[in-house]
Amino acid sequence: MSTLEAIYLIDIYGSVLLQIESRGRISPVTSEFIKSEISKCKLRNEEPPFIIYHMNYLIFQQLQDDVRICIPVTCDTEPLYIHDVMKLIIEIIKTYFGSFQSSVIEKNTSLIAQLLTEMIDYGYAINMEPNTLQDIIPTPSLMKKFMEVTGLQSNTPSIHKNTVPWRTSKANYTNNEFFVRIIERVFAVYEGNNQLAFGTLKVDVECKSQMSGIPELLLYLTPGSIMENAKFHNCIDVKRWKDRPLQLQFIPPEGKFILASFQANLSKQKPLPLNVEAKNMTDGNFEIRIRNTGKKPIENLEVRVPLPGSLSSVSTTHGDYIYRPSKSVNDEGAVLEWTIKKIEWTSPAYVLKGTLNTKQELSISDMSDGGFEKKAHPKLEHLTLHYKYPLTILSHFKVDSLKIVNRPDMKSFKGVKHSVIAQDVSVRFK
Amino acid sequence: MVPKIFQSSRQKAFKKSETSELQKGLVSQYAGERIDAVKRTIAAMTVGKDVSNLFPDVLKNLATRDVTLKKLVYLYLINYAKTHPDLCILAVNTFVKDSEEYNPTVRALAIRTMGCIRVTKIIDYLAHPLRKALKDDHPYVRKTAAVCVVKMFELDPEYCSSNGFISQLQALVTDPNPAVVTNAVRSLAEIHDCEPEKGYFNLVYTMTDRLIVALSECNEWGRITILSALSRLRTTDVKEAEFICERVIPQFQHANSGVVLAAVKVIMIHISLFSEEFRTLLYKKMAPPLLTLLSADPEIQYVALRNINLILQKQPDVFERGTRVFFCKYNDPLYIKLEKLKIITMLACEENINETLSELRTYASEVDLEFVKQTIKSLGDVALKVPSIINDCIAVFLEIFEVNISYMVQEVMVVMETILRQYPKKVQLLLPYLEKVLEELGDPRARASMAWILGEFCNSIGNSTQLLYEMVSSISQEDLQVQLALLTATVKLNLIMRNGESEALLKKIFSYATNVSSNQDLRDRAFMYQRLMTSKNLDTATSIVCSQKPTVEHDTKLPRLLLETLLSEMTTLASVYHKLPESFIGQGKFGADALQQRAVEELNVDEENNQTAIEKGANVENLLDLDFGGQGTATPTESTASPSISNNALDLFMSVESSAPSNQPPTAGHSRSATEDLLGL
Repeated sequence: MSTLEAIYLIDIYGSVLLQIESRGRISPVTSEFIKSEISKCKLRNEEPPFIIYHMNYLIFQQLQDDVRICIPVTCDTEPLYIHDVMKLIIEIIKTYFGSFQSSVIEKNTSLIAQLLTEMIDYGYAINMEPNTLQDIIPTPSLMKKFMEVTGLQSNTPSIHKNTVPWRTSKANYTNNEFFVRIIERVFAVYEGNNQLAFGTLKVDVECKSQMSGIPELLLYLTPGSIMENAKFHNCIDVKRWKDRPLQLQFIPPEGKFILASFQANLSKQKPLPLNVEAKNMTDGNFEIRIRNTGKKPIENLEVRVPLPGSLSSVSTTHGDYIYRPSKSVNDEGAVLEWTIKKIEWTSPAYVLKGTLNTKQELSISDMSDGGFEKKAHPKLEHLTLHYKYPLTILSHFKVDSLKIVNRPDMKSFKGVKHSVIAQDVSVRFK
Repeated sequence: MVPKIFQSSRQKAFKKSETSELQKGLVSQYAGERIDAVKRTIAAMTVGKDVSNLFPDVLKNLATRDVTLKKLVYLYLINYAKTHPDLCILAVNTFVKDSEEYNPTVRALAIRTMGCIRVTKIIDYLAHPLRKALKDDHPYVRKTAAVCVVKMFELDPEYCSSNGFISQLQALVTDPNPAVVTNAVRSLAEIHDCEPEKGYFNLVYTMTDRLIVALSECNEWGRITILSALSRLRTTDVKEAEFICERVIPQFQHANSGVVLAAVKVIMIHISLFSEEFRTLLYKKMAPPLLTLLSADPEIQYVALRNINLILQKQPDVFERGTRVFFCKYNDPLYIKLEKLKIITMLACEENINETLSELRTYASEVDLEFVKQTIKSLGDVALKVPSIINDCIAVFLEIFEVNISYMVQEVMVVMETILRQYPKKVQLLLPYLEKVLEELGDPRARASMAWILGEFCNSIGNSTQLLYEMVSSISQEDLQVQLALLTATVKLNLIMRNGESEALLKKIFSYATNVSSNQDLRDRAFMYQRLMTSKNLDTATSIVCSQKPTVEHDTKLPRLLLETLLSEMTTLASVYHKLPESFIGQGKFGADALQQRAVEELNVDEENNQTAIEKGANVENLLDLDFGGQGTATPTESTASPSISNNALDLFMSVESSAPSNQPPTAGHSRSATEDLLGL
């Protein structure tokens, strides 16, 4: 784990919004070097690499919204560590100020600088838990409130000893509430005949906690709930879970957080509710056939078909379609988008048919390179799907109940919400 | 709003009027105005403007009772402590006073700021407060003090160790607060690395106990720190190592990918100690968390894939679930796809070959040129690895010949050369296509392969003489690689057929090689063949040129020593690049000995940049735009012969260099087989 020599926040024009150096080993002109590297990449019309190489250091950089976050290091290091640090810095600035836009950062530099020095001391990542940071440096809105109510200078709250590291010490609510939402995201590739090629199901157990004091919660899962390859939030007692896999004990952080997530092989779960057949036919014709085979409606279906050339005709039985031509050379190319707001489970199959144009630049490519003339009828290869299938579950994971161990009288549990999202599902044309 | 275009110039010019305005604000009698002025000063400072001339005025605000203001002033001071220590030392009495303050935040800030002042004089003032802070009853202060010890060590290592600061730091490792433990560990590790011979942080078994308890209590950074400390432990005691590994396993369940990889590293370091049984158990536990990283961001995926690649070289049967998890999604970035392909090829075996083959076949019809090329290469490698699949594999290739898209056909041709060397009988399947395919071949690699096939199998290929004749007639336009291949092919043809036609062809090529060509290699080789083929010893020549060839094997492994080093460096950039760290970032960059190396590197980097500009587009490792391909990185280590790199490592490094670029192996293979022919190996 190596030292983070500095942190730069740079806007897309290359001017520095904020810079903090941790050890004074890196000269301030580094920002100039980064700027020139980035403008070089811009000239070549490509996104700068995650790691920019300088002769005596490496610069990790990433663009988020319109701000580029750069961290130079001087020796070999774990790239994921830097990656995580960046992600967390972005996240924390977002929780404090609502967004990571350059305009927001420009306005709040002194507070962000305070936050960064609190998070990173002498190049070490020390504390990036949003809850505890808020104990040391109050969020702007809270600070304002203090001023207004007391009419005095707000005093920085003193930090408590031996509190739970991820929990704020001053949570206080009149209504104690705890929500659980289970989101199942599908990542899969299907063959054109609706056979699953491979896929995973990623399940996130999202919680929202608004509870006073330091509650100890115990979440019971229904028997048969399996969590494969589970990953837990810091707060979960993993040892206990190993002994009793149907109980999760934890002291929650405040606000929204992901309590646990796990992944399962999609082929072992309940099948997806959407049946898709995608076929290439002769002479550049193709057909996409979609049917809801579930028991509930499917919402916001979006089908994207990358096209090798232009289309000569398209027709659908339902929904809207739009053809987006490619804008530049580096673009992913032309795309056909087909959107349907809702498919009831009783509906018949929805069909999209179309014909591809044979390549126009045929004559040119014919002369320059003899190889392409046989590709007279271009074929489609993939389509991607994105849709929501609310109020259902595909996995065998179910929450039974939630108990507050140290305050059994409290009735805070507000129930569980489920939803399935087809996050990254693609179908290969037959 | 000032237009963005003018902003950078606006920022640099920090106007005099602005300075005096801030100055006024800083000494204002109203607290609100002072806070505002300090905030604006900090805002100017954080965008890189020099506001050090406001130092005395900002300093006046330090004595305030208002903690918010105090924190802001400290923020200003910390920043200038490193660059303007002479100014900061003026305020040292206030710091010392603040370190006695009731509020722990202020105590910690005072200690932290003093640590940042980089003049040795500060030590006299710092020593006493720091000693107290290390024993403070508030963990926040202890935690800050732990880091401060490193700062002091950097200023004066001698003073720091002889006055008991390091032993105090060592005591903090057993602190009840996990955050303090992690900071102490981190500081100790850094101090240890500065002077490893003093052994400030020789992890002993008793210490690991406390670390492991803290491990489950602290935040993700703490966990990463403790895990990397645990991976420093070198023990030969199996029991100890087992104890540690068992305690580390629960970390696989952590949400943070960095923690997962750090845990993997601890286990990989100790794994060679264990019995077969326990080892398999560990691998079994390790595989799923690694695989879950594959559904994260592409950057994380890439790191995971490269590390998986390393582990697979050491232990090929880690992932029993087969290759499916590594199948490519069409929207994966190219660098991910290519890595996945490599791993699919590595994993190919009898059990999963059918699904692997059908998947590779799908990839072969994708649009991306580079990906298709690599897929075809993988198909060839798979066929070498799993002999039972050879017929299906060739069937896929023949399909490609049917479709006849030139870049694919060319790639197949190159792969065919290796396959036919292993399975010479399969040449029959190829016969109907050769003539048609020849027109499509533009790439010299493919043409050379074609020439080799024609020469080697001239017996089976009916029209080989005619095809070779066609190729030889345009020999002056060919690349050297093709010319050499053609020469050898014609010689073979002549030795096997021994008829008038082939002899005429041979004469033609000999006369070109010896009289026309300006290339020495070609000329020398032609002479050698000529001497060899005098009429009386034609049979001897045949036995030399057309001898049995040793079998080829699919091998993508790194040299063993390098692999071992990289495995112990798991999760670092070295393990991602599959290079030793010295090859991409200088060691001890701040020492004098590194200076010379840096100068050489600087030169080379410039060269390299030019090269990258030209080669751009072909650069696959886009993500990590380091471009090791060229000689750029090899030269500095070689020319300076830095003492930090042992001879051994250098050898290793060089050997990686030669096998690194993806398009080289076939070429190398070709020239090798040609030389072998010549020498009758």
